[in-house]
Amino acid sequence: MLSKKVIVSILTLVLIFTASHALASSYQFGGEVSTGLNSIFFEETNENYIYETVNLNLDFNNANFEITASNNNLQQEFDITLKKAYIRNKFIGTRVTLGKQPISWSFGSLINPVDYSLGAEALDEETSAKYVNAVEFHYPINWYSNVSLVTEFNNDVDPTKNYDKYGFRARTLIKDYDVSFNYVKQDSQVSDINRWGLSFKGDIKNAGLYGAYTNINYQTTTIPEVNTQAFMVGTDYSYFLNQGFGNRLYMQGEYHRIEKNEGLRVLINSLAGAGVGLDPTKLLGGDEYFDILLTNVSYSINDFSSIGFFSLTSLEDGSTALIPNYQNQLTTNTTLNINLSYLSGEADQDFAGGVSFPEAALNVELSYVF
Amino acid sequence: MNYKKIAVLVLLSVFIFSSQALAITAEEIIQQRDDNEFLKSARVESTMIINNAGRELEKKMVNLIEGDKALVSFTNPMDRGTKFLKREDNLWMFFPDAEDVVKLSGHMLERGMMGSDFSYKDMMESEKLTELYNFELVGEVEYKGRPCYKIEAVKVEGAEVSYYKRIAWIDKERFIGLREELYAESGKLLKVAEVTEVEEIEGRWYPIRTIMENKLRENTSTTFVIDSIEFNPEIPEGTFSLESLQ
Repeated sequence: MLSKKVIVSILTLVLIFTASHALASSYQFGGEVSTGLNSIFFEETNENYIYETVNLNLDFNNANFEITASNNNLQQEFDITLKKAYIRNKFIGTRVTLGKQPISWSFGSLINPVDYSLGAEALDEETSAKYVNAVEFHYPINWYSNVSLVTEFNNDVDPTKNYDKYGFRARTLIKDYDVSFNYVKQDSQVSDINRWGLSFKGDIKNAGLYGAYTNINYQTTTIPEVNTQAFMVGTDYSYFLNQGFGNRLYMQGEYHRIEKNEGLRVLINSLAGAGVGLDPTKLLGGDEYFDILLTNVSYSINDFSSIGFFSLTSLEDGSTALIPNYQNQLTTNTTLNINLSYLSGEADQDFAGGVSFPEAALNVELSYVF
Repeated sequence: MNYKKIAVLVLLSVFIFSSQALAITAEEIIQQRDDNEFLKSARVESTMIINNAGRELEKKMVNLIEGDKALVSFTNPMDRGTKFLKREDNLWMFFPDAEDVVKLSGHMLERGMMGSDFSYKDMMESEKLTELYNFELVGEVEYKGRPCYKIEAVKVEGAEVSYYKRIAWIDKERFIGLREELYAESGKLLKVAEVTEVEEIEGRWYPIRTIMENKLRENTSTTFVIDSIEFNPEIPEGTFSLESLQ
C-alpha cells in the first residue's frame, strides 16, 4: 500500500510539472444549471421535492476539473461532489491520467455487464460510480487498437470499505466489429471479486448487433467461492418515415441471461444503476437463470423534441419496469426533460414496488448549459 | 475561284470548328465543379443553424477531412466536447461526460447529424460525384442572376448513394453548384440545397452558406455556414484514430 502511495506521489509531481505549460496556455470553462421536481410514489405514501443543481467544468488540455453542487428541499441538504479532478500527459506513447476521473468501458449496450464499475452507466444516464480515484495508463497500438490499465486508490476511514481494484481492457477492430476484452479484480476485507468479459459491436446489414459474455468469480467471508456466468445480445435499428427521409424511429432491444447463484448480487448492481429496484434474495429462487428483456424505442417528433419508451421485463414472471420519457430542446441552450418510471409487478415479482421501494417516480427537469 | 464562296466556306469552317471546341460536356462541368468543391483534405470551422417553424438551434463544429476519413468536434455549449470519427463506413462517437468512445451502428450514418437536415454522411464525406452518377446537360438557364448549366444526374447502377437522382444548377463561370434538388427513385423530391453565398478561397470558388430543406418535413431547414476553411492543411499522422477522439 505504501509503494502505491509513493508511485502515485511521484506520478503526480511528474504530471504536474509536464502539464503545467498546457495548464497555463489554454482552457475552456462551461457548465449547466438545472432545476427539477421529483415525485416518488410508494405503496402507501409519496414524496415530492424540488432540487437545483449547478455543474461547473474547467477543462485544460491536460487537466480537467468538474464539480456538482446540488440542493433539494426535502433533505434540506446542500451537497458538493467533485466529479473530475485529474491531470493527464503522455510518456513514450502512453497516456497517463491521474486523479478523480470517469472510467467507462461502454460498447453501446443499455446495460453493460462488462464495465469497470457495474451500474456506472445505464440508459445513457450517469451515476457517481463511474468517477473513481485512479491512475489510468492507456496505450494505443494503432488507430483502432489500444490497451488500458487502471489502478484505483481509496482511503476510507472504515477499513471494511477499503479495497484494491485493478482493471485491464484491450480493444481492437476485427472485420469492422469493435471487440474488447475486460478484466477487473477487486479485493477487500469482506469480499474478493474477479471478473472478465468479452464484448463486441458491429453491423449485420442495416442493423447494429452487439453482445457480451462475462464470468464472475465471487467470494466473501461468509459465502464460499462461486462462479457466475452471464451473457447478453442486442440489436438496434433506425427507421425513417416518408421513404427514409422523414421523422426517425429508433429501436433497440437487448436480452440478458444471468446464472442464478450468489454471484448474481455483483451483476445486479448494473440493474440498480438503471434506477430499477431488484432484490437479489428474491431473484435467487426459481429457475436456474435470470432472464430479462430490455427494449428502447424513441421517436423524433421534430428537430427539437423526441419521445422515448424504455422497458425491462423479467421473462420469469412477466413483471415489467416501464420508463417513458419526453425531451424538448426549448432553445439552443435550454432543455426540458420529463421522465416517468413505473414498476408493474406484484409484491412477490421481480420488478415490483412496495412499502420501501417506489412503485413509480416522476421527474421534470429544466436545464441550461453555458 | 469565287472569293466570296471561299470567304463563306472559311467562315463556316471557323464557326463549326470553334463551336465544337467550345462545347462542354456534362462530365466536364461536373469535373470542374469537383475541382472546386471536392475536398481532398481540409480543416473547416462551421456553424449549423437548425430551423423549424421559426425556432432555431445553433451548433458549432470543427471538421477535419482527409479522403474518406473525418473527425468532427462540436464546440457549442450544448454539445461541447462531443466528437465523431468516421473512417470508411465506421462511425465512432466520443461522449465527453463519460470520456468514453462507442462505435455507432452503421445505420446512424444516414441519420440527420445532431438533429439537422444534413446526414452524418453529408457532413463527413466529400465525394467525387463523377464516380457515382451519370450526368446529362439538360440546358443553360439563369439562376438568381447567374448564368448556369442545368445538369441532371442519375446514379450509376450499383453505386451506394443516398439520392437516386440530382438536378444541379452550376455557375457557368465559377463552376460551383448554386442549387441542387435531390430525388428518390420514385421521382419524389426529397431535399433542396441552395447556396446563398460563395467565396473565392485560395484560388477556388467554394460555397460558404448553404440552406438545406428537407421537403418531406414541413417548415424545416438547416443552414450550414463555413466560418473558415483551409484546403490541404498539414494533418498530423494519427489524427483519425480512436486515441485522438479522447
